[in-house]
Amino acid sequence: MAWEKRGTEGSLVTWYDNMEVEAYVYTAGPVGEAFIKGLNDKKILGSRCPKCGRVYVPARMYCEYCFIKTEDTLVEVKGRAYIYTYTTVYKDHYGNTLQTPLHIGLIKFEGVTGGLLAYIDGKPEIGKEVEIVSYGIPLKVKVK
Amino acid sequence: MQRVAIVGIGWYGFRPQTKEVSFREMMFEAAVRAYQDAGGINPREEVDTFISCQEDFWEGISIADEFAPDPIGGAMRPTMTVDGDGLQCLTHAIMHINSGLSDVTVVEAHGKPSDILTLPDIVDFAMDPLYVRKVSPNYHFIAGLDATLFMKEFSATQEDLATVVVKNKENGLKNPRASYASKLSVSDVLEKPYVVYPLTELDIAPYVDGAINIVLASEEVARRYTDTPIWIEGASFATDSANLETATLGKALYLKIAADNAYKMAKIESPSKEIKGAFIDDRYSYKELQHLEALSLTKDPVKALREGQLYPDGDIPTNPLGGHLAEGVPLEASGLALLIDAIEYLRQGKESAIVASWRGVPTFTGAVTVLKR
Ligand SMILES: [Zn+2]
Repeated sequence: MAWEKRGTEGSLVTWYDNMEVEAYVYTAGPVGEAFIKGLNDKKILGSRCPKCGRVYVPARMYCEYCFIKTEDTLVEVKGRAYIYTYTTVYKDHYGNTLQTPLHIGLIKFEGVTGGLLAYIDGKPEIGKEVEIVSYGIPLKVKVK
Repeated sequence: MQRVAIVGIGWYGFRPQTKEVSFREMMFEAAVRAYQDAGGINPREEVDTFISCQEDFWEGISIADEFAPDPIGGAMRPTMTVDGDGLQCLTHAIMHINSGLSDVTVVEAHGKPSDILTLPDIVDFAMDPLYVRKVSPNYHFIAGLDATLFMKEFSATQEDLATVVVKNKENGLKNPRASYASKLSVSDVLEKPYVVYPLTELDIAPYVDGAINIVLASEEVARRYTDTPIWIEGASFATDSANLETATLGKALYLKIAADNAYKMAKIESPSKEIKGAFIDDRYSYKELQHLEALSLTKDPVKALREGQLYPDGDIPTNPLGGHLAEGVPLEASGLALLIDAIEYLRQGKESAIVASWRGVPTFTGAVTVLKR
């Protein structure tokens, strides 16, 4: 009970353990895989909902609004890519200062639902158009 | 909805470390206090159902719900767990009572982050493994993305965010649970280096250990346990699109959906006139302002802050006991921490309050409870 608690370091018992849970394999799924293959070909692929017409990036198998399967053929996204919002990371989450601050943006594409995270080269600004310099997860983009 | 009363509250901890107790002992201590506060109720006989809000990864135990009943008096009694914030639990308790399943229900939540040696990695684990996780060396980046857009859309400055920090840490000075209360100046906050733009170390609420236990009762039996029941008039919780790419950033849509539902239930048409105190998630300074807008307490939270309306003697007293910036973030007990602040505020004679929680990065889930004396 509360009355008998003592705060003396050394007399308190703790037990160290390590749950090794960091090893997983995550399956991308057929649409996810097609999307990632698209990135390898320097293409941003989206999946279109036949009902509401939304084009999702990253491409996914179903529309979360209509709950129906998206069209089988993915569409290549060619709309203007721009910085929807951004941040700059100065420290990692254990408090260590990064050697170079890292600009991370959420990039959106005109006419598309969704977006992709990106490392940004140049001074980030909301709404600014970007050029994709490397297609991966995350993207690497340059402020135009 | 039949009215449900809060008839007892108990808490333990609210310190950066609670090495003197295990998490189960912490739950026990909070429970004993709550049952005393509820007129000495005997949980083994007078409580019909128990609900615990918890998450396996925070506990370091898989299937942690097996550990829920006995520290709160619920062994071999109807006990359920909710994988979410404590305020979500509260909504389940209301459903238990309103459905006629129970007359008295106990809600419990706790957090012992000081036991978790790799807490940031656990937060990373909550992110989409394909497109989001591992992009950033700091999980706060999602709050950074949201804050940058919020500041743009609401014309908020770095000084405005710092003012929220100074206000809440000072409000905490009169709160026994506020381990991180202090008297700071705006420049103290602005001088701190960024962790993730636009947030400094002081804009981000630290973690804290704490356990909370709440006793709820139906309208018929409430006065058996207390002379000062606090009435729940409305409650709801909601999730925006759960994907970072499709969720709303800059605004807190999850909380707007939950608040609109809760107001409807409470028959509140003009929240800014009818709500006398706001106890809302401020685990990042900008979140307080963003959440105020989502709760329809003001259209322009930045203006309200600058005009002094958010101070304890203002029109919309917001986190008058310091919120998470002063108390810390006790994981799934966070919403209940705000709730007991609100209950203490109402017990002191104030008429009404709103409590609004958020489950933190990377979620888009929030809960709202409307309370009256
Ligand atoms: Zn659709």
